[in-house]
Amino acid sequence: MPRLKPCFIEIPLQLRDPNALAVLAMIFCLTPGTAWGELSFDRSKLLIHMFDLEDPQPFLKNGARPLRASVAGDLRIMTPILFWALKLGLFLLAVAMLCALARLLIGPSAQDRVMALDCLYINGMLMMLVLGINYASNVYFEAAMLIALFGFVASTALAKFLLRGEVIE
Amino acid sequence: MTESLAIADFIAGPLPLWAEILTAAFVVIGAAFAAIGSFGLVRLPTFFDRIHAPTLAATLGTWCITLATITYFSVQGGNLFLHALLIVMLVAVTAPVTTIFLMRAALFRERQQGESVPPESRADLTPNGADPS
Repeated sequence: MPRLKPCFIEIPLQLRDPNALAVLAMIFCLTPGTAWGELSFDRSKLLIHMFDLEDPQPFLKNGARPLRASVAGDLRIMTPILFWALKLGLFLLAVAMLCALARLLIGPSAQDRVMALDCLYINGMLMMLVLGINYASNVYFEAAMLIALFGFVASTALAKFLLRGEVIE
Repeated sequence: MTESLAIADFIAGPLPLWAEILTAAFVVIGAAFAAIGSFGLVRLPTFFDRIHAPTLAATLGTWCITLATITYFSVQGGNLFLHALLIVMLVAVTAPVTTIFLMRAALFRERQQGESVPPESRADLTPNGADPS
C-alpha cells in the first residue's frame, strides 16, 4: 500500500460572511480528504488538514487566488444592455404566461383550455431558455427540452381525448 | 493541446459588445413575439381565430430565443454550440401535430353542437371532388 502523505495547509481567505464560512466548513468536513482545522481571528487564513496530498505547492504558490465569494456571479457579469434585455424578456414571457392563464380560466370550451395549456408550456420553455442565458448555464437547455417534450405529449393526449373520449384506442 | 485552447477561449465575464447586443435583441424580440401571440390568445373572438395566435410564440418566438442562445453560448465558449436547434426542430415537429388534433377535436365538437362550421367532407367523393361513377 502506498504511503499516505497527510499534511496541514494554510489557505488564504477573502470570505468574511459567517454563513458562507459555515457552508465552506460543511464542504470541507463532509468531503473525505479535507478537514477544517482552525480559522484565524481576522478570518483571513484557514488551516485545513489534508488526508493525502502529494504536492502542497499548488495551494501555496503566489499565484493561487484566495477563496472568496462570487462577485455578483463571475460568469454572469454582463453589460447593462444584456442585463436589462434579459429582465425585459422574462417580464414579457411572464405576461404571456398570464395571458395563457387568463384564457385557461375564461375559455368557454374545453378545446380553448387545451390550447391555453399548449401556449403555457411553449412560454414556459422559452422562459427556461432565457434563464439559461441569464445564468450562463447549460442545464436550462435540458430543462427546456423536457418541458417541450412533456408539454407536447400532454396537449396531444388532451386533444385526442376531446376528439374520441379516450386517448389510446 | 485542444483542452488548453478550449479553456483559454472560454470568456468569463462580459462578452464582446456586438455579441451582447445581438443576444439582447434576439431575446427581446422573441419574448415580444411570445407576448403578442399570447395576448392574441386572450383577445381573439372565436376558437378558430385563436388557434393562429400561439404559432407566433411557437415559431417566431422559439426561433429568436434559440438564436439568442446559440449566439451567447457560442461566443462565450469559443465554439459553435448549435444544440439549441434541437428544441426548434422538436417544436417544429410537435406543434403541428397538436394543432391538427385540436382542430379536429374542435370541428367535431362544433358540428355536434350544430354551430356554423363546414360540414364533414363526403367520404364517397374522389379527391378531385367528382363522383366516382
